[in-house]
Amino acid sequence: MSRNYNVLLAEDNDDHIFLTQKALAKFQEAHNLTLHIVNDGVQAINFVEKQAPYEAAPTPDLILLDIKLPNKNGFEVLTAIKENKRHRRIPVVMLTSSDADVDIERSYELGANSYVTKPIKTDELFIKLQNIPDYWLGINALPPERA
Amino acid sequence: MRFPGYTTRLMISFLFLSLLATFLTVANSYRLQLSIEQIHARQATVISGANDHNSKTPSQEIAISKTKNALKNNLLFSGFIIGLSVLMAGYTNLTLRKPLAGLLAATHHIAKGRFDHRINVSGVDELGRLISAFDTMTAELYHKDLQITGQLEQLKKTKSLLESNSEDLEKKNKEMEYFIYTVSHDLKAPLIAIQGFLAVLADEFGTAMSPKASFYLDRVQANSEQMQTLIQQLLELSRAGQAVKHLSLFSTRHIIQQVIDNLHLQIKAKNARISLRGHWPDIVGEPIRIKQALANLIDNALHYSQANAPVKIELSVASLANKWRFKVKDNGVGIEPAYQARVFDMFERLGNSTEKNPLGTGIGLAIVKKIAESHSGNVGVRSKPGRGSTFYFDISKELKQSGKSKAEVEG
Repeated sequence: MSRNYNVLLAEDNDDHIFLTQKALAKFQEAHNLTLHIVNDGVQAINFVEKQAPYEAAPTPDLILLDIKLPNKNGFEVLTAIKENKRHRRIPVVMLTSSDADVDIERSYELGANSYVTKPIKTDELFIKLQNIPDYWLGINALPPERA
Repeated sequence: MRFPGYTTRLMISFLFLSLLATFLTVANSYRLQLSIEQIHARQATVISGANDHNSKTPSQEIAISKTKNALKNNLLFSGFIIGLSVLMAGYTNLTLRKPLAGLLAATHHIAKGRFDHRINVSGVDELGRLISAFDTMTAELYHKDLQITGQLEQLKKTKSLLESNSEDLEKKNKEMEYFIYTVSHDLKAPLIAIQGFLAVLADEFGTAMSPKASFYLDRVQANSEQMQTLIQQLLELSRAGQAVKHLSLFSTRHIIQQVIDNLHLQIKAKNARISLRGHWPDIVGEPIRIKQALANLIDNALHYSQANAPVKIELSVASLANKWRFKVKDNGVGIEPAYQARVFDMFERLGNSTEKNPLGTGIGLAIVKKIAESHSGNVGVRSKPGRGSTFYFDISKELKQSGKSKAEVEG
């Protein structure tokens, strides 16, 4: 009945991936949600742009982006996404291990829609997602049609 | 047209004088010649009237010979005067014009900074002495110039040494800050996992745990939080030490309200009364850092409050000559005079905290100091043990905005 939502998680730390999955578990129950995981910045960009080996990847409905990623960091990935006309409407939530104002400010400067401080708590994530202007999964929007 | 120089004029005068003398002499000679001819004519008249045609009277002979002598003397004198004038002109040229020209040339050299030039004209007269004094002066200047050049060279070397040293220092500083930043981030990653798993553990197995196990879990959580604070502050310290990047005009009233809002849990826990005093101006600075400095000072005041008295904290901004002074006044435990100078050093902690397990890391005030320094200001404290403390930090009034709008910063 409800459509499938694709969430891309860009994170290199396995424990953090596990804990983020835990935090997302409640959403996954409530909504038909598929979590895709990439481990570095270049993979994240390739996934969004459907470059090899992600030719068959769906366009994500939401991106959870760690700031400290190998190869290309979260800021670089964010810049690449927000500079691309086709992708810049995808909501991006930055995951930061420091709640330092400079990292947060930089994220917003580069066009992030929100940020969440690790360790990710379900409640906090939910509140942050609700505050994204075009509410991320269109959960309130009917019909949930989106390219 | 250039007006002839003084010595040239002098020489021209000599020549003019000699010409005048010559003219006078020639005129005089002409007059004498005339008188000779008159004598001859008179003689002829006398002779025509007399018998002896060729005979002259002796007085006439004497007159003629005297006149001829005078004529000869006149011509000789005239020649002498001309010769003398030429000599005088030559002498003037040699003794006056040339040395003066040399002196003039030398002053030109000196004016151009060439102190090695010498006139080298010998003489015992005033001009000679003047020139030799001038040469001595130039020699003195030459030596002074050499000394100054040497010192300048030395200064240049010292300067470049200092510059390369400060560049080195800046580079080391940057490396150090980058190191702290990276380490803090990397230290945080496992800690975040620890805290995350602790939360999952409490969430999924909390109810199944014995009270002892819950207590242990609680202690692990408390300590991991302490460690997180420590790492967070190290991170903030490394940032506070960096040069300010975005100076903007902002409302201090606006940010102090944000700081108080952010600290409302701690304020509530202490049941503290926070009051804003006086005028809170719009100033130029980096609002994020000034917010942090204020937050750290208020946090510090809350932390070192007296257990048995209501906690009162007064906040104000004083306008001094060239700086803003942010003051945080408390009625807390105060600081012994011996410790007052050290409280802003890293990892200095006061022993008389009211809390059994103080959360203070000893970094908070060091961060305030770095923030003040990054705004060309300083920090300080006035305190009486048992009565309270007033901490302050200064922000220079001479900072210039770096192009960001107020709305952007506050947004």
